[in-house]
Amino acid sequence: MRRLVNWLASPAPIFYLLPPLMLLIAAGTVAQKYVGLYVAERTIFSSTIIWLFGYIPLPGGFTLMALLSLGLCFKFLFKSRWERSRFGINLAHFGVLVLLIGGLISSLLGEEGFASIPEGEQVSGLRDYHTRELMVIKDGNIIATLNPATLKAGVVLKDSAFPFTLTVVDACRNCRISSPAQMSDDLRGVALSIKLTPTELMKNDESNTGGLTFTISGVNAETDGRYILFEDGPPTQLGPYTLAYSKQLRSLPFSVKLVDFVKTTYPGTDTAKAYHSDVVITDGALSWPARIAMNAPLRYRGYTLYQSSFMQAQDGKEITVLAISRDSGQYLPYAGTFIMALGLLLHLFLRKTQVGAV
Amino acid sequence: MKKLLLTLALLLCPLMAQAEDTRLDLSSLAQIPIAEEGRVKPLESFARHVLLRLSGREDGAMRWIASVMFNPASAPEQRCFRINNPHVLAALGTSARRDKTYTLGELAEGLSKTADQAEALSRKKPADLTVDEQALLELHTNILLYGQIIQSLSLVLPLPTLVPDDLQTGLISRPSYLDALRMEPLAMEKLRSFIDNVTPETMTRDQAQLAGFVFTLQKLRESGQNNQTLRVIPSSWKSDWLSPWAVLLSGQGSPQTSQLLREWQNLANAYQHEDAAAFNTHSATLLQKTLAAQSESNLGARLQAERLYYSLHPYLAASLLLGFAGLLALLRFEKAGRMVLGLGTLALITALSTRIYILQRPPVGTLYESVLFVALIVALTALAMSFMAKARGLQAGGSFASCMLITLAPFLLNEGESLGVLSAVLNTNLWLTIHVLCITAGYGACILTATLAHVQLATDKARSLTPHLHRLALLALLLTATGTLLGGVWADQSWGRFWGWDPKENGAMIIVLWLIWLLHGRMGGQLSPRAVTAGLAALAVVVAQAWFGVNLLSVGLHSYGFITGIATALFTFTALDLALIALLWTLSAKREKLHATA
Repeated sequence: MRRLVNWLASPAPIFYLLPPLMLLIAAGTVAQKYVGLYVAERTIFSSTIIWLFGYIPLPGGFTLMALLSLGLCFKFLFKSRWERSRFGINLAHFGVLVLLIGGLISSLLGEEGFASIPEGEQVSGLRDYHTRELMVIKDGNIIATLNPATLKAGVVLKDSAFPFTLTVVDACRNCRISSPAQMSDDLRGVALSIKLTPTELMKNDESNTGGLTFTISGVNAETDGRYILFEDGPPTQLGPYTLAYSKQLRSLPFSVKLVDFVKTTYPGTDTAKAYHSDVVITDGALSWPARIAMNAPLRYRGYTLYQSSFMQAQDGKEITVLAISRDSGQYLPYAGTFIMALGLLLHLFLRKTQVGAV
Repeated sequence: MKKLLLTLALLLCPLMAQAEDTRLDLSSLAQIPIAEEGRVKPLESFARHVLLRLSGREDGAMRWIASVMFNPASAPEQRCFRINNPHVLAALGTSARRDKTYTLGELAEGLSKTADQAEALSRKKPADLTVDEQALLELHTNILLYGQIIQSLSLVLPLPTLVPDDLQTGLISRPSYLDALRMEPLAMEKLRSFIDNVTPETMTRDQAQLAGFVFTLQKLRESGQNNQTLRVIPSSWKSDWLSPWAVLLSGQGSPQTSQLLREWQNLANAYQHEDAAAFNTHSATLLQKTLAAQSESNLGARLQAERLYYSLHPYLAASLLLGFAGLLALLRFEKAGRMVLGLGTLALITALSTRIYILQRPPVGTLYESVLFVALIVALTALAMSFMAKARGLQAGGSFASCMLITLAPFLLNEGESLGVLSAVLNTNLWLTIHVLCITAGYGACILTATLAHVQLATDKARSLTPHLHRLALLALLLTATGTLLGGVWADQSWGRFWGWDPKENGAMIIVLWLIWLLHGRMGGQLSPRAVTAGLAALAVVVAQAWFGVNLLSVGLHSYGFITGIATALFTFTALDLALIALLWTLSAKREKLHATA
């Protein structure tokens, strides 16, 4: 046991863990080009196990970084000698540990999403980048939410909260919308004018349009039939019930109204020089103006709002896209960076000059 | 395109075509400010950029642009279109010439034949175009640009038609569009009085002349409608620059802009009359008046600095000096080598400082700039360390590495313009400065480390890790690690996440991990000193992959000439360097064996 602890606290684990970590980062970087960042992150960088060719288990990024952190902790507990010449290098290692812990906290507790706000409008929620949801709404209240990722052809949904039975005919994570090949009597709503066919997933997960073809039964002859619902498309009305499909919406403890979006370009070009959004924040009875600019985010109540992008609506109205994140570990990387840099700097000057003392 | 050719034909009807006058002093004209690609630059930079784009060369750019602008009649005869692609030549029906450059006149027929094809291509996504299609489209786009320049001053040049005698109210013998504008209402009135009662056959000579006059004015106006390229007139109403035609047609004129247009007219007249004295006086006045009419600070001095920057070829000087310094160190003239290394570094510092002054921002916004900056760091560190101790290998290696980087830099330029503006996310001086300077300094330290490691691997020093190499490796680790993490801080400030597994971030992280791995392997005893030295030598490959390799990744699958060239160069460098390291390792091991048996 003692030998194992000694070994874990020595530089050896670093020596054996870093090559696979470097390979993993390189592989994940190349993979991004083919499968997009979202998939690469889930299956390589932030995974615990990577299944090579589907059946060979390899340690994922998460596992490797956890092992590195463990080694570092052991080093501090059992190995670090706190003498003058070692002070810098110990501090640098501590900085790395702070960074790794910060990364862990961010990945476990962090929350991120976006809000697109047209000029003159107000929002009090943020949408997730990836998680989609299927909502059953009655009288403006959400009475049931379902994860569309679990819906596959043949799945039957029945719940006491709503009086109908929903049977999934087809579900696609990225659908192509086209005109229906043939008409039939059981088509209802938008299903009369379109059909969905699964198509190749986009590399950028946000750009995928999820959709669902389903039948409703158990209401009445007029309502029962085949429906289509797709992401950010028109909702399905079933009497007093509404079905909607969109990126998951989470509420914010305050609201943001976009007053004006301004894009400055370099003279005579379309190249953007800077963007900013002038907003009004309302929290309870209080409201005040604020500016969110590129490289100058707004921080409030643990949330940080960044100028991410912008769009132009068909009516010419500008729409700002704000990235919103909440991260309890946000300042740990800052601290880690500072401690590590300081440690390495001190080490350059304090270390013993004999060769081999690293 | 057909319309353009027609208008060009009208404009170019050879009222005059003189040989250019070599007594003309183009220096003031070269310094006239012009807005292009988001930046105000001297006309000479614009001319170089355009000529490079059209013909692949940039010498004589000022004489070329003066002739095209002031004497459009000479434009069809200028051999300034370079066509390398044989399929494009075949499509145009033009026979190939050895120097691959052609005149507009030679290409005109082929251009009109392929105009529809080019128009269809322009609607396709660039990624879907084949190399041949891209070349054809590029030629047509270049012709459009040329057309814009030819017509840019057509409003102040003498009209390409005779003015009816009864409209001449003043003493102007050959009025320009600008002069003729006030004759237009009267001309229109006269034209209306007879136009319905005559046919082209029954028109008298005077009537035909009047109709021709009105038609020419309308045609010129039409062609000036979208003429936005030569943005040399500062707007009086907002901080923007307008082309002469835009000033006139967009209603943004003022007494000031009208004065400037008159000066352009005087200059054009002087050029056409080969009146060198008048040309030199008017170009100086025009420069002075333009600078007075705009609001940017120090623009005059910056324009001068830019002309100097381009004309002195500071990078050529720096690379020659550094190469020479490396040679001197190699031949054991260490002191002289150090002095020349100092001079080369100074030349590089001067060039980069001038760049900062011209662009008013840190010099590390593009790949090209960062390579130059890294070259400076390598040279500076080698210079500093050569003072600390006897380090011939370091001095020679550093000088050569820096020289190579400077030589490599121009190949990373996309379109010839080496002084460019920054995209919005980079346009933030604080984070850009701290993060990018730190990480590129780290790359510099890495390259120097790798160079020294190569040198040591080739000598007996590989048996132990020398203090120099160790210190350099630590410096490289400090700078790359801090730079990478500061990039996280910047990303957190800008995009809301500290780490996003972006290819560029990952590349930098692999460099850091590689250094950490080598240092820990050395300490833990898993790696021999020779292995560590070889690993540090391979740092050059790791840096090249992280720095350029990831850039290739992000451009997608379509390989254009520029990117293909870089990819091949990167692959060749990686293979050659790894082979060299393996060879040096084997030789070093053999030497040690011999040493041991001896």
